[in-house]
Amino acid sequence: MVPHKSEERIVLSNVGIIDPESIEDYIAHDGYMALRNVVKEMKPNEVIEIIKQSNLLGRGGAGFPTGLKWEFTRKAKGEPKYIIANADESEPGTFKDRIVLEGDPHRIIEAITIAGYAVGSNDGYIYIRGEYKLVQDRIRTAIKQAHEKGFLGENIFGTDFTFDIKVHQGVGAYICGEETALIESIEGKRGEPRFRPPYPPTYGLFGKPTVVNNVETLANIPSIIRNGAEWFRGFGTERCSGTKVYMILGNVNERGVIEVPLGITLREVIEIYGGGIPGNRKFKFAQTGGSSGSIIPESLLDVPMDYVSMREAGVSLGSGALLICDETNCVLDLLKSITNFFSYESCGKCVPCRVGTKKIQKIIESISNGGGLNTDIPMLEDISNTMEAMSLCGLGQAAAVPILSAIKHFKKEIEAHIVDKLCQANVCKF
Amino acid sequence: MAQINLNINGKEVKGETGDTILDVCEKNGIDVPTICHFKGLTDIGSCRMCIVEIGTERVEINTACTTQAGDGMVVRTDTKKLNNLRRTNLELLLSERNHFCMFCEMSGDCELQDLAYKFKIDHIRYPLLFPKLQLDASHKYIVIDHNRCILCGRCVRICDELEANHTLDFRERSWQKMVNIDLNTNLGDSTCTSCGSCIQVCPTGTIFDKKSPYIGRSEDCEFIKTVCSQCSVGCETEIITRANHILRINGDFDSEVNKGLLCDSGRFTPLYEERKRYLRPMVRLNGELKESDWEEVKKIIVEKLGGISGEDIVGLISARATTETINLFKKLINNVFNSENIGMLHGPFSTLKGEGSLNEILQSDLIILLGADFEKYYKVVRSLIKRAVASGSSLILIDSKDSNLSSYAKLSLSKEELQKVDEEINKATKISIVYNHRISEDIENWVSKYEGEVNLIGLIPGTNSLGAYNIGISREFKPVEAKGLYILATDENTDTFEKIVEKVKQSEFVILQTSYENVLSQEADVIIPSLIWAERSGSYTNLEGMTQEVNRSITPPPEIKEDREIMIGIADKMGKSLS
Repeated sequence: MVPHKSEERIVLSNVGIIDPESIEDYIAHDGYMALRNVVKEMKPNEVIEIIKQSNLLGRGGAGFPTGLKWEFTRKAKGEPKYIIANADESEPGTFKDRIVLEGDPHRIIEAITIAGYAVGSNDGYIYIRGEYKLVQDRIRTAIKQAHEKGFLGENIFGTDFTFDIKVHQGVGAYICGEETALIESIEGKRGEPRFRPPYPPTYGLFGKPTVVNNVETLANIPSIIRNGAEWFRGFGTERCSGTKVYMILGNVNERGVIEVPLGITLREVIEIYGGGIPGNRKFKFAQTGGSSGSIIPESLLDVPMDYVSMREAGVSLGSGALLICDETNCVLDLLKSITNFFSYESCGKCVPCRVGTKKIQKIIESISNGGGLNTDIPMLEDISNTMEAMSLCGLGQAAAVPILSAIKHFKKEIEAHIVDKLCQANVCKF
Repeated sequence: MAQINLNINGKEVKGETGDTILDVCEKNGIDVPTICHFKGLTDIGSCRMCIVEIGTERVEINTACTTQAGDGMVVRTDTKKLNNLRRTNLELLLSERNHFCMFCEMSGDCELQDLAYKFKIDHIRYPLLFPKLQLDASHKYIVIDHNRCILCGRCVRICDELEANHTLDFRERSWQKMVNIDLNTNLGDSTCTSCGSCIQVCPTGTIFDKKSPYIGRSEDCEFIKTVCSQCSVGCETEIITRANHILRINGDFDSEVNKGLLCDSGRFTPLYEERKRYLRPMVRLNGELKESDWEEVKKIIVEKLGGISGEDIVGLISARATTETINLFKKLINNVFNSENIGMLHGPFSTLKGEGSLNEILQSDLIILLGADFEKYYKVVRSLIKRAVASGSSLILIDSKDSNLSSYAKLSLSKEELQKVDEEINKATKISIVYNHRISEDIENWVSKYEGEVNLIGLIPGTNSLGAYNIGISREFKPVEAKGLYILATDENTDTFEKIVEKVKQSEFVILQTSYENVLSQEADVIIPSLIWAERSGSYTNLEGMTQEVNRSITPPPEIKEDREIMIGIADKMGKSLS
């Protein structure tokens, strides 16, 4: 995985360079130095302050300030407290966490332990997607190695700080990537989200204050501790510091993973890193952030891809997956995969999502089969708006996003399928 | 509990800390539509009907049942936006499964239908899915028709939180989510305890009982609150009747005793009565029982029983009789027939003073169960114990082989190992000891040393035994044969009679005051027909020592007299008064 020039690798700094199954290799690359500084020379509040100052935002998709999350959890009443690393990466098109976990597992172990120290927790969990077998093996090996060196367990680095990490495996449910459903899953219950408030920092695992952080978020921690908050703010934009791992997928010459400062535009990604669209075909649309992301037309190619700018433009950055589609693709065909996915993955707890995703899926399917009705678009909007307004969790709310953005930017194409039974890209068979 | 102030729909209202927004609305008479919410069960916010708008500058939409009410909160419950969302939600729900009101026995009493009317839904905009779903009628009493299910989860929650058996849960996800029984079995083959709580909480016609469908809607029926007469727990019930027929027995969710929970003995057994009822007095002539009349029966009783000396007369009373009846019977036997021999039909019971509190079981960190047998009765107590264990209490079983409880117990001991229990008691803070009537003398001595120090609950056999003991009926009286035997048997269950058949056979003159034909009938010389449970009124005292009101819910057949009239009639005929 040779980085492009002008990539700035923080999260992926060791990936492809060190042997992930060798703790010595990690140590030789400044591994566990951050943890050592933290437990031997810093107070928990100082650690939290650095993360707050760094302005690190959650990289799972929600973009919540990590420092604040740690602070809320530290201040919350309740013992014991927990740190959970969310490695249930199930967003279609997203595999950045897998790359870090397979290529640099110790980094995450170090980060979780630092979080534990900062928040006042001695118990960490890492919830790994069931399908990620190699990740599970490497993490287990890494935990064992860390114990052997005294970086986990009792008296870490000879201090009175104790921390251990348990590995929990998922069994194939996208909804378990939602933080409260993940918590329910660890507790041995059905992976169904909880109502909020209360949020995990106040009421989390076993009812205790819990930090749930995405793997990519955690991967930034050791570097921020070692190099300082100001260093981190030197990357990215004014409002969103640091880098982001983007996955370039679809109709580009060079698919793959890059890590660049936040704020790059989609056009730059396609041209500089993606090597352009093959066959000189035209860009038609992209979906950013996985299946729950917005469908972006050409007019939005120059929006800086950071959490705030994207939100202001009415689109979502999400996980960083970038699906590039040229003119040989049909929006409706993409919507078919997306709606199939959500209808299958909905947990079924709340009515608008459970029934809404199924209804939407059936409507899209019928449009792409030539059975579209004039009432379909208003109905899709109605159901999507309902799901966005009143679903219990982010899945239901996000499932509405691709539909609404497709209707907003590609209404004519959808109408052509309904009224004229015509698929301009020649994909849908009537 | 501090007071908090909210602004709901422009009005200043009050609530208490710990209230949800829905609690505050309910306290102030503000109507918010709900489905999955049920008072007494944890709220999960899954149906989304109770969504409200919270805040002024940043308006958040969230469910009222799960959101804590905060001091100074501004809430709107009835905006156009909210109602449009709720209507869409209902339409989605109505289009999901097969909701055909015209065929459903719940039509008219259905919470889903009520909401549809309230939101003026006369057609559904979404294509109906018509899934093919199962109807499970394998259970003896309960039917589950998944076609009507809206996955509100009330049945799952009550089976887990109140009955504490967790037979029901969900399986699968998304549109395939289903109410699930055990590891996906039929209800008839499952661990279901047949408590029937699921029937009562189901808002639609999904879960119903086999006896009462299509017999009447709530508006056609009467609802009478009374007390169950099957055992001494004293679960408070609500009897649903129509045209002097009992349709259904419901638990009373407002009751402090059982909080709405019942068991199959209380909810179903009384409606599946197969014994033949005595409608007129009977007299044995030439070896056979023949129908007679009240005057002749009184004459025979006075002649026969009046001619036997008091020490050869025995009175046995069923614990199902009300305290008032027992009182009169006692006076009849003692004062009119000069006999001191009076006792309970079910035999002797321990003299330990075990009138503890059932609710305290939930607060005890150690629960000890002696000689427990929950096969037929006291099952509500078993659920309380299981709930206590689920929230952290420890359970020790002594000489108790209830398979339903064995996985909940920390220790399962025989009565020889009481020392180990002493050690555990020393370590605990709040202790409940629950003992059964099988307790033998040696265990009784051990228990008595904790009398006054622990929450002691005796699972007294019979229903109103404590009412009887409190007015002087002996706890220790053993049923014996007699020259003159008067058994006030009521509608007692048959197994109680089987224990005394031999003694009755050896008695010379037997008066049987009972409701149904039973094993003692062939030994009876005189049969006086008696009221059944639904026709009785008076008081019962439950095993906690609490006096409860028994209320008649149906009128008896014309020739069956009340117990009071029978006793007074006999006394009069003997020329004596019962006051």
